[in-house]
Amino acid sequence: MESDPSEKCPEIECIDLISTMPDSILGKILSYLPIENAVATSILSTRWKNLFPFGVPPIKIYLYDPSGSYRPGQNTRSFMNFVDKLLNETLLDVPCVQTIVIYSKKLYSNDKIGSWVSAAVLLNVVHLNLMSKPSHSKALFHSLNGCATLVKLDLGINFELCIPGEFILPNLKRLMLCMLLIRDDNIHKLLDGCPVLDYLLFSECDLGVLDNLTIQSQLLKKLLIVDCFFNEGCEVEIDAPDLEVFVYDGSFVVNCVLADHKSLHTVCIEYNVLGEVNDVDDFVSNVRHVAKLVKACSSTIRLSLSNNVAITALHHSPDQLPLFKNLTCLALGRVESHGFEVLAHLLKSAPSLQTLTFEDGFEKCDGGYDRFESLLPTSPICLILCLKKIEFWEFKGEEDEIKFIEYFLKNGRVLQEVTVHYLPCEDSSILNRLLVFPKDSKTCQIILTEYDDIDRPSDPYSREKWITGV
Amino acid sequence: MAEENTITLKSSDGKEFLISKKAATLSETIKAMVEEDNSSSVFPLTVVDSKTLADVITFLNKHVDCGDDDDKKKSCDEEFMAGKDDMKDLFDLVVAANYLDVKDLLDLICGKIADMMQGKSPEWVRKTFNIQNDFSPEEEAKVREEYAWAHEGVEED
Repeated sequence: MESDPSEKCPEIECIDLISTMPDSILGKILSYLPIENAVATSILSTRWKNLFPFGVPPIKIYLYDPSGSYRPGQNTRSFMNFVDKLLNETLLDVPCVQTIVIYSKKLYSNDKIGSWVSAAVLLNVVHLNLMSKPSHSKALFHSLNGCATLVKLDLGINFELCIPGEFILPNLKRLMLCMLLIRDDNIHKLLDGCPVLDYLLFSECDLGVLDNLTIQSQLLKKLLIVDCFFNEGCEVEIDAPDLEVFVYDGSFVVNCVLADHKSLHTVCIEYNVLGEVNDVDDFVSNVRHVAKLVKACSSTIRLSLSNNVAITALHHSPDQLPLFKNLTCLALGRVESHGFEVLAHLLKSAPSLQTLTFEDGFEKCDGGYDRFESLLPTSPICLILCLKKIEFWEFKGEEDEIKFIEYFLKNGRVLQEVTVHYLPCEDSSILNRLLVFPKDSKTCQIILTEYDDIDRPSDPYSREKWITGV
Repeated sequence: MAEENTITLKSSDGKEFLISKKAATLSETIKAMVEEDNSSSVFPLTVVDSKTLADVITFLNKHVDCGDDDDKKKSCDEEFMAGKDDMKDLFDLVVAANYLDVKDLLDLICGKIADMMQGKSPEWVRKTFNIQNDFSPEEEAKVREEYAWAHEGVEED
């Protein structure tokens, strides 16, 4: 006979171990579950029912949509009643709630969203993440106004930033704005009211009606502008004397005015387009804007030009490249046509360079390598004194790529490591060739490794790690 | 005599474990014991058996090595949890972590148990954890109705 373990019942296996735990441990387990799963445990037994709403107060509360479709269903009301009771009654006496996440498409434009935010403020929330549309944006910011416990605020989606006068969040350090419509002087009012802001992210925001955007913040250290919509030629003035990290990633070339920030150490510029090729005026002014921005970042320690648009702009710019005297870490997107010359100029302009990464390999280009070499009659200083590490991603084994590796090995006097991430099905005779090239640095190691999509530098996760410097 | 920087922990079944003071005092309970009795070098832990204590000590040593490096801690924790699927072992650890007041370990194990429960039907959870359903059918229906939204979309058994 097949034995069912639950029928056999030797001492240990049949004991309800979990229900013998103290409330504090069961409460902790519940606090790690998504709220609907935590609530669902109330049906297990009377012991669990009595535990609920919460044996111990949760530190984080995630209020996601009840699962299923995005249309309000018959259970939406039971969900709303639950949240009302949770925020307005159950949690009122427990000051431990720190994070409240409200993420709901079902309750789009529902009055409840605003009232939950007010309740969160009363609960002394430290981190509020709102990804839903409140019915009254202005009322939302009135509720938030003055909240002294709030340190981290994530706001979205699809509503307009409506900042009342005299708005203040005295301890807010981290602000994330997602898919918001931003116009008039709302961003100024918001930043004025956040005197200790340290991190600011605009993600997919619509800034299309602004002719100029001024980001003025005394203590701001990280500014990221990602995939935002701008008016053509919008002037973005950044006045943040302590700025350390600056990321611009998007399809719109803006006229970015960044005073020479001595504190900058990480810059990532990733333009996707440089305007219409047939519109010469547009193209020329865009080239000027991009080149100016790169120039303004010349004191940075780490620089990523992860799209060839910036490189193209540098090539067409009539100005010489600035001296990147502190630059130790440079990452470049795909090197193609003009990239070969710009690469030569960059090597000459970065005397302290230690790490060089080619994130997306090289585009096949007739004579590309020869143009590069002809611009470097003598070895650039960084190759003689400090360049230690080079990484080639997406190595395809083409003649130009091989010549580059040969060049760096021949001229890199202090090289320690050259890593080649080759694409699968690479002819092993080519890889073997790399291993026998003459090396100026006898201690230099050549590492050949199969290209792995997950670790590639242009992967968003890797990119974020690069930006945060982990 | 043991060195000044190490102490001995004695399990409920009488086995002794040598551990650095620095690692041992990540446990608030042991820290209090050591502070209270500076002259002793052997501390009996009457509610933790040797198998569990060995696990706890592995965890404490790993965490001392990680220092304040959160990324390192995370990968240490993953390594520590690998293969720990036996329910009885997990419960022994959670009880020990609670008694010894090692917050990081308690969080880690509670998170693991929560992972096992996530998205599962009440029937699955009851069976897996041997939880006796002591509701009457009427009571159960009432609770289910009250939190109807929470019972949508659980995994099929």
